Amino acid sequence: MLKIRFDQSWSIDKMIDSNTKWRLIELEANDAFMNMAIDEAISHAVAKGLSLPTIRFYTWKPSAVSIGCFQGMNDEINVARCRELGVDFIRRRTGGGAVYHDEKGEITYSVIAPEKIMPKGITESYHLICGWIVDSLKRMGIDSEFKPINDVVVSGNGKKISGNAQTRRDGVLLQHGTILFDVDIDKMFSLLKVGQEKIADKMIADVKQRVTSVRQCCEASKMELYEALTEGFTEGKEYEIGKLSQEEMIEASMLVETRYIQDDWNFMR
Amino acid sequence: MKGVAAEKVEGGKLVRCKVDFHDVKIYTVQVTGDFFLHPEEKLKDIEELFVGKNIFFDEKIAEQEIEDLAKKMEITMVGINSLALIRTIKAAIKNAEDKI
Repeated sequence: MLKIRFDQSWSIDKMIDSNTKWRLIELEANDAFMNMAIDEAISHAVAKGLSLPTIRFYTWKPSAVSIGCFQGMNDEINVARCRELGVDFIRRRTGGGAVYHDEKGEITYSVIAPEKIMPKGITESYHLICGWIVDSLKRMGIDSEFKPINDVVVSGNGKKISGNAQTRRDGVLLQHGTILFDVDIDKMFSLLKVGQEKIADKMIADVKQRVTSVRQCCEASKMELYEALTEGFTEGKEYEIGKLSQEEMIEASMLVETRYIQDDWNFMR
Repeated sequence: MKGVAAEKVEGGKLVRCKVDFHDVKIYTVQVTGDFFLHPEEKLKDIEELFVGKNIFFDEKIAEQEIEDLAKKMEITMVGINSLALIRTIKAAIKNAEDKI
């Protein structure tokens, strides 16, 4: 199926390449290991020219904590608590911080495209893709803005509503990020060690001051958020709704086994 | 001896260094944090720059070595910089010494 969208308001500074055709992989739920393996498998396929630049939406089932590729698992996560609650934990290929991906409380996206069609600068490329999030939230009546290095914050109060992380390998840019739909701060803090030694009520209050979610901004449902994201990310692009190729599925399954479930990877630091 | 130190780099990213040394010789340096560095696998090369160094290493020379390596290996650091790395490694060494 081919859908072509065109919007007169699409400004030149947001343009990548009007001739680029994209693949949209619609919202799906996977466990943490498969989610990260799929992003990597798509990156490899895009690098080889076997797959179109891809926009993918997904959730994490069961809930999971992901850490940045330079973080220490035991520094950042209460592993015992994760095991107790059945929450997966995984190291990403991208930098950045630890993120709690609540099964029902957020939507994750990934954008995987050849570097040559994206801005060369790191900040510029964050700005571009985070701009798609800003556009999506705008459709829901939420005014937000890109805050370097890698956040989207709600305008006015400056509260973070989206965190993002990027890597570039083999000529391919992979950026993924989370858009918070509903935040359970207490659960998040029982899993993350960030400031655990100082986890006084004041610390929790401070985090609540800095983080928000779609539900705190409007009455929208998660599906309405997903629809807004789909529109915001695809606006002005020629795209087709697609699935993973057979090769991508096979490689993703292999990467789950060889990398993402392995302690050698997850506890590397 | 082992020492750990962390610094919140300007711009909001955290860098944490764990340094293992004996007498005055550095054996391992491990850098962790929520920063970005491309290509990611090159962080190991930066860590290895410090292996074998005297704990009283010259900060200016070390900064130049990181800059040279970054140029040679086309390393881009975001939310972290060579000076912050060096400060944190020095602080980790000091923290270990303070425990004596």
